[in-house]
Amino acid sequence: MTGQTQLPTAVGPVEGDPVHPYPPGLLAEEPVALVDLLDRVLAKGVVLTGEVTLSIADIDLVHVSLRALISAVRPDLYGLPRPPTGPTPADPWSDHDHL
Amino acid sequence: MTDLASWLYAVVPADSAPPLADLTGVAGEPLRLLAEAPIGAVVGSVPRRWLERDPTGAPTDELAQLVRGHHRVVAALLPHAPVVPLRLGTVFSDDDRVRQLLRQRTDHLTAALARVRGRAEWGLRIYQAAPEPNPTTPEPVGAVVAGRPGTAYLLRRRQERIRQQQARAAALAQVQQIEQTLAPLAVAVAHPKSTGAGDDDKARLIRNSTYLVDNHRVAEFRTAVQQCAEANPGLRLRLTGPWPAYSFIPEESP
Repeated sequence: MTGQTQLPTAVGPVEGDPVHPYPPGLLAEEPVALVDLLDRVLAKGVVLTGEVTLSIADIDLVHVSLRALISAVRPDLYGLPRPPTGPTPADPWSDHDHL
Repeated sequence: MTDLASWLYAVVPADSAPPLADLTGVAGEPLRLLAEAPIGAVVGSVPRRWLERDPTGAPTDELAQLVRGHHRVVAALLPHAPVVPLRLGTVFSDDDRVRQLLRQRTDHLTAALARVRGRAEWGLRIYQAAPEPNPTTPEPVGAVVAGRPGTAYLLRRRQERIRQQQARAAALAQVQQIEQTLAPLAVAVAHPKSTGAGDDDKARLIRNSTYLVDNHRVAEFRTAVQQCAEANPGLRLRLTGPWPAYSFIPEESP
């Protein structure tokens, strides 16, 4: 792995046609690493308020549920290697309360 | 009041024609474009009851599906038009409220679209490569501590710690150099804190960056990243993209 770059799983030939620089559907079809997805979909993106009444739109709840998601996430769902069997490691979020 | 609510995925130009017929949303629902020229919102109807449930009590797969489903829609729009992604869970009681919002925020959203037009976000995670096993490490001051195994052990530990600190300092210097190389190729750079969730290599992550790059410079950017990776065998670089510009949407001025 040393000295190599893992080129993105979700990348196509982006150069070229300036109108449609990305092959349609490419992003949707390629697996995207969970960490990159969560960093963006849950933590970024424009926040529009005005009427945010549903519980999932509450930012604190989203974070709480994210904790729940991560601690219980099924690795096989994301193509990640299964953790070794044995005692569950400590809560991976314990040092990430700043999220 | 119906039993459906309007889930926002993204804002696009009103005159864009995204291929919504080929897409479904987080609830498997069909999507529609609500146009309030010059901008429009891509929206789907989701069951209100389904959303009002406390997600912390929901099966965790359900939230994962929301995350994936939301991103799937936003990402599918990217090839066709500039896209301002909405954060997960932006929901309004009906389409009228969404249209009202589009009218109220036209300036902000138009500026945001202009910012991302012809550009995409690229993520770069830089890890310290796993250390080479170093069997040639000399036994520290062996003669002095002969017959004192405890002291020898502590000295070895200390030496190892110093070596790790030096390796990290060297890696950080390399990262700085990489950033100086890449920054001129990008429109903007951000260093968001990573959740680290699902990253097996989290402990070795030393820099999480995201670059907003003009589409016509992407080949150049990728080549530069590749060269940086080759020039720095002590690091491992992971580039992902193109992403919708989640990290580069300007804040709304109050």
